[in-house]
Order: sequence, then C-alpha cells, then structure tokens
Amino acid sequence: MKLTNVLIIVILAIFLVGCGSSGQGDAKTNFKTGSGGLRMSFFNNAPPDKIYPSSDFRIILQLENDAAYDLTSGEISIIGLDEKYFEVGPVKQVFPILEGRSLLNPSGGKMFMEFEGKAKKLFQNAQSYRGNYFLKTKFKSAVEFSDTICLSPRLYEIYDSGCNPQEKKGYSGQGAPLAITDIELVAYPVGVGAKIEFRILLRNLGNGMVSHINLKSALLGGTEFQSCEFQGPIVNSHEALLSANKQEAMLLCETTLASSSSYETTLAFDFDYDYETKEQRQLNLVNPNVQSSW
Amino acid sequence: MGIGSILGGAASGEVGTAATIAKYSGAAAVGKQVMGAGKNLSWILVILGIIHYAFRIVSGGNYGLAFVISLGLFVFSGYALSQRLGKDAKDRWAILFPMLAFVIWYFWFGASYEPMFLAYFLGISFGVMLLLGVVTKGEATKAELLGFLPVLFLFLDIGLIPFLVEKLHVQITPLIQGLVLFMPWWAFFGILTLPSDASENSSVNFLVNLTKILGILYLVFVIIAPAIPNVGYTQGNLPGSAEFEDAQARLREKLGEKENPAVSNWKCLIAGRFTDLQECINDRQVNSELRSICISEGYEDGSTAYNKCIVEQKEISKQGAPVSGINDPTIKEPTTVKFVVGKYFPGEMTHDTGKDIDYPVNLEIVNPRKQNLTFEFSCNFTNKKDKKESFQGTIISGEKLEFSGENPKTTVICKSPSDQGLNGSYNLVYSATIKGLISSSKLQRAFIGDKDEKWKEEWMPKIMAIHFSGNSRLSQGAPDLARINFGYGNTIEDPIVESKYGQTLSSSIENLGNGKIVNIYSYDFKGFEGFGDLNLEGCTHGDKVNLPTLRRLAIPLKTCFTKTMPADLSDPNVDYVLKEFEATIVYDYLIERSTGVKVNLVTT
Repeated sequence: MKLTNVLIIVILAIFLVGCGSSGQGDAKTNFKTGSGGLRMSFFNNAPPDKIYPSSDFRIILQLENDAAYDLTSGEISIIGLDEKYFEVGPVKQVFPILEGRSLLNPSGGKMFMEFEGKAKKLFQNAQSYRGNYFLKTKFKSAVEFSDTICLSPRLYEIYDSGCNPQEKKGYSGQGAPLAITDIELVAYPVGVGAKIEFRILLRNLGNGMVSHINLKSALLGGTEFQSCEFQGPIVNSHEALLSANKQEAMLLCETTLASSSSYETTLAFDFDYDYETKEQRQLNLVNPNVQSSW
Repeated sequence: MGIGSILGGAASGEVGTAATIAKYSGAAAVGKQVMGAGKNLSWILVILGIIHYAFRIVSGGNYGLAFVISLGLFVFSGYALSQRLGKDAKDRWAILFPMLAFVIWYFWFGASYEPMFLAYFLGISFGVMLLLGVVTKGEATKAELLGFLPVLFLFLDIGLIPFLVEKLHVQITPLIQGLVLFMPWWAFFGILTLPSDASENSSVNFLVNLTKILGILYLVFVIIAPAIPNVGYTQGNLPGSAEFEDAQARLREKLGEKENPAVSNWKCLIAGRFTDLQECINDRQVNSELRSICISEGYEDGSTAYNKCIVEQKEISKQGAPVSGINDPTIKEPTTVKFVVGKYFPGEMTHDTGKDIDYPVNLEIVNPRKQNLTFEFSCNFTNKKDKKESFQGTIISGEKLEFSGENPKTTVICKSPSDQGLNGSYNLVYSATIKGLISSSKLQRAFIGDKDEKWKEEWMPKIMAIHFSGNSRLSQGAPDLARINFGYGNTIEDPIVESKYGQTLSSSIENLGNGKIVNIYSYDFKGFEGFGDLNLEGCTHGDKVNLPTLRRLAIPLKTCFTKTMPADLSDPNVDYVLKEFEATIVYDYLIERSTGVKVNLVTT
C-alpha cells in the first residue's frame, strides 16, 4: 500500500509539474517591447589586442538583431583607418536580411562578417600606433504600434459609464530603437461630431541615429485617420527627417468621432525608418621590440 | 583704529596700531607685544605671498595646488588681520564673517548671480552683520569691514580679471592685464598690513610705507579701470576654481617674456610719448620679447651678435610665426649625441712644458634608427684671462669617424699643440659636426570631400575627438636634434580638409638641440602626389636650404597653395578618409662641449 501511495503521489506530481510547464510554454512572449536594436561585437581575438607590423589580421564582427523586426538593406563600413598603417578590405560590406526576434527565432537573427586586414610599418622607431576608427552600420527597419484606447467626445468630462479616456499615455518601446513614447489626445469641439487629434511622439531610444521615418499606416479602429502629418522637417506629410541633435518626431493624426459616448477601440501605426550606428573602435599596432605599456 | 589706520598708517603718519591699542587698553607693553606678533604675521604673509607667486609662475600646470595655497593664504590673511587688531579687540573674530559668507556664496551656492538669490543672500548677510554691530555696540563693525579685504584679494589673486577677458570677453586693456597678472597679491596684502614702523631701520620703514601708498593706488586703479560693472552677470557664467587658474595661466603664457605692460606704460609716459602712447607700448612689448629670445639664445645683451639677433628676429616676426609641431609621444628614443666629460678627465694638472697634453672626453650617441652617421671633430683652447689667446688642438682619436650602430660610443682625444704650451686656465671646446642626419615628421588629416552642414554638424566633432584630440592636429616627429614641422589644410592647423576650398602647405625646421644646424641638404614631403601646385619645385621637395647667419629656433620653408587634390580624397567613397603625410630633412648638425682645463707649469 505504501508503495502504491508513493507512486500515486509521484505520478500526480509529474502531472502537475507537466501541466505547469505546458502552461508556461503556451504563454505568448511579446517581443515587441523594449528598445533593442542591432548589437555588434568582435569575435574572439579578431582583431587581436596587439597587431605587429607587416602582419595579417582579421576583423570578425558578430551582428545580432535584438529588435522584433527584420533589418534590411544592411551595410557596414570601416571608416577612419589610415591606409599607411592598416589596409582593411573591403571597407564597406552589405549584409543580408537579419531576422527580428519572434516566436520562431526568439533570440533574433545572428551573423558574422569578416574583414581582411594587413598591418604595415610603424613610423620610424615609434613604439606603437593607435588606429581609431568608426564601425558604421546602416539599415532599414520597421516598428509597429498597437494599443486599445478609450475615446470619448467628452474627453474632459467625468466618466460617462463607458470607458475612462486618458488624455496622455506613455510607452516604453515597441521592440525597436525607434518607439512611440507618448500619445496625447485632444478633442474639440466637445460633443457629437467632435474632432479628436492624436499627438504621437516618436523617439529614438537607441544609441544610433534615425535619419528618416516613413508612416506606412495609421488606423483607428481599423479605419484610416482623416489626416496624419509629421511636424517639423519633412519630405512629405508621411515622411519625417530627423537631425543629429533632435532624434524625435511629432506626428499629428486627426479624425472625427461618430459616437456621442465613450468607447474602446484599437489604435495602430506602422513605420519604416532608416537607422545608422557609429561605434568607435581601435586597432593597436605595436613594435615587437618594445614592451608595451598598455 | 579704523581700516585706514591698519592699512594706511604710513599715509596718515599715524604712530601705529600698537600705540592705539595701548591707548585703548592702558597696557602699552601688551600692545607692543601684540604689534610684534601682528607684524611678524604680516612679514610671514609677505614671504608666503612671494613664494606662492613664484610657485604659480614656475609650477606650470599645477594650478590646483596654487589655488589651494591661495585659499590657505586667504585664511592666513584673515588671521593676520585679526592679529593686527590686537588681543584687546574682543570682537576681532567678526573678520571671519564676511570671509565665511564669501566661502558659502562661492562654494556652497556656486557663486550664483541670480538677482533674487543675491537679494536674499546679501540681505541676510548684511542683516546678520548689522545685528552683530548693534549687539557689540559697533565694536564688531571694523572687524566685519576688514573681513572684506581677504575676499577682495582672493578674487584678484585667483584671476577674476583674466577670466573676464577669456570667458566673458570683457574688453580689458593690456595695461590692466599686466597690472593684475604680474602682481603678487598676497605679498602685497602682507605689506599693507604691516605697521608704519615695521622695522627698526627707518629706510625699510620708508620703503614699506611707500609701497603701501603705491600699492593702494595700484589697487584702486585695477579695480576702477576695467569698468567691470559693465559685465552682464548670470548664474553659470562664473567659473569654477580650475577655470580661474587656467585662464590666468593661459593669459600669462600668452604674455610670454614680454615686459610688464604697466612698466611699458610708465616708461612711455616718462619718455613723453603722449601722442602715440599705444604705439610706444606695443614697440616696447615687441622689443622686450625679441630681447628675451636673443638672450635665451645665449647672446650677451648689447653685443654685436645680440644686435644682429634682434634685427634678424624682427625680420622673422615680419615673415610670420613659424609652423608649430610637437614631439611624437610614441617615439621614446630620439637620435641624440653628446660629449660627456668623465671622472678621469685631467681638468687640472701640473706639467713641465704644457705641450702635447691629451684631453679625452666620451662621445655618447643614441642612434635608434641606425643611421649612418659621419662625425667631424675639432677642439679649441681659449685662455680664460686673455680671450685673444685662442688656438686649435689636434684630435688624435680620428678627426672623421663613421658610426651606424644603435648605441655607439667612442673617446675623442684632443691633444694640446706641440708648439704652444698651456699655462693657466683655458676653455677647451670640443666640436662635432654630425653629417647627413635624417629626421622625419608626420601629419594626419581627414579628408571629407564636400559635405553638407548636417553631415558636418554630426561628424566633425566625432572626427576631432577620435583623431585630433589635444595637439595631434600638429605635425609630430622624433625629438631629434632638429625637426621639420609642417601644416597642411584649408588652414594649416585645421585637420579636417574640405575639397571645395583651397589648401596651404607650410613648413619650418626647428632646432631642438643645443647645437646649430649647419647645413640642410634637402627636404621632402611624401603623400602629396596628385595635389596639383604642391608638387612645384620648392614645395614638396627642395635642395640646399639657405641658413640664416645666426642660430635661431626655426627656419621657415616655402609656403605653397593648391586647389586640387586626388579624386579619392576630394570625393571619398566612405564618410571621410584619414591620410598621413610625411616630411623628411637631411642635415648637418654641430654640437659643442666646453670644459675648463688648468695647467700649472713646473718651474725649476
């Protein structure tokens, strides 16, 4: 009897644990949060910490896509190395589509890129030469936003037994460096047929630079807005240009509300953008006859 | 006893603080003792002030320590002032109040000039001071007012006016700059606090009192003349202590070895140059700078060579400043050559004839690049008493030698003549001309092509930060005996080159050693292929440079201009291209080493 009881308990335990695991696995991970982007790192010892004159070396870059969207039209270049000391080729390479994080590929796309290098001679009897350079990446990517919001033609009035509209809402990111961070609602005039304006602030939360944002679609309850227009420097109303020192853009979207009472609806935006990162790196050419101090 | 009596006893002819104290207290002996203590503290402040001033001038970059010493002297001066008030002045501690208020305002509130804040702060401060005055029946008022003096001197000392010149761009005349920068403020403060009978020597007392009077006039002039109230004060415009010190040091450096502008001003006034006063001051400033250059090159003031040097320096100054360059920090071992007089050198000897005496010295060569060096040696004896008695010795170790190793050493032996006996003290000068030395310098430039403002706004600070921080925009070469300095670009010191503007290449040869460049066979620049007019004769290559008759620090080479550059640089296929240029000179260099020898002839 005792053995039977133990077996029953063990089987029940396995069953319960199994149920628990199954539940976790089924839970959908939302990859479209945060502000992850392209991550770059050097492969071990490529390039080496010290490079000796007249020697060959390799720069192997590991690219990882931490964003929830594919990176396309990728290009990577090495800028600022003096050919008198380091000859690296090719200085510019394109990389194929790098998949974004998803259920099928939770860690995102990953790839390696290789640059062949040749070190040359030091200047006279110099002990070393530090070749500072930039690793510049350029790619295109997208960002999607969707949320359920409460709309009311009486935005500033007391709760009308429907939903509770929020004038302002903040967001921490949609799984890309470019993110909608704030949405503000302005309704006028009050009542039926009121116009409601959405003031959408897009910000670059990554370390790189967004140069261009393109609004692909803007839907409120599955219907397009009456008008959507970027403010500030633009190519056209749906394309914004961002400067190096102001990495944000304001999008104003307007529509007329049909209902006289508050209701919940979906709000969705799709954007394309161009992204550029520049990381400072260094190659160290050292004289083999000298004990280096670094 | 008021502030006037403490600071200006000499001017008023008042007997002195101690006597006053004695009068108040009825204890003359105690008063004398106090005066003695206060006097000593004032003298100590004078000495510390001079040391601090000398330290500031000599220390170069150690501005932080100079500032700390200033603060120390600030506290000490407060203490010295309180001592001058005497022990019987029970409210002398009130001196500390304005000093404390200043320290709180400056360090705690970050020297805020916001009107509302100032209104509150000054209101509270003066309120407290007034309260103290009332409570002490006016006894503390004198001490409170005296407390503003160390505050004033601290501000003057740490460089308020240079800061205003550099940071706030206040138009202050060179005269005021000189008056502020060349004043040992704390020493002056010490003198001001000395009693009229600072010494038992009446001449010293007269000098002290005269200094006080002149010093007060000086101080008043410095405070009034620059019209500081015209500055628009806002919070954040005032500096931190490091900025004060930096600004002061930079301004001093800029003034260089020039005559104190105040002195120039007085001398021009005495000379009656009222109609062209500014021109006179400028002339004196330029001349004093040229004088310092020629003196530093070893010419005796007033000698013919000195006068020639002045004329030549004037010519150089008309040509414009030579191109700057720096030592390459990655080259730790430059090419150097020196004579070393060893322990066994027969500096003094007794000899029967004074003829054919061997004088050996070591020649130490550091030749890290293993150049093939040819040396030509000679030696010369000059009688110390009779300079006309000068004759050549003979180099018996070989008048011409060649070396190519990394650290060759040899002994150079000079034999005194066989036909002329030495008798007495002589200067023995060894000379070595090193033939065919090669020295190179490098210069990096970033070529950006023709970019729009948006690109430049983003990239140019980045390029400057990673490639051209500090002085790395200047050409760099090994600190050999001579170095070629060169600059190239839209302006020669701008390291970022845009293709739409013309470019200038300018260079000069700088003598870094203690000897003389005696020949320049050639100079060559590498990397300028495809740069149009820069490849004209004399620009990127030249043979045989005519040397000036006198030794000087830099020899300018031809300056050239071009509007073209290779296509890969005028339109780079990446954001920018970094390119290094190289310049090389081939030259002869003369080094000399002088040493004294003495021969005592044996008389029979």
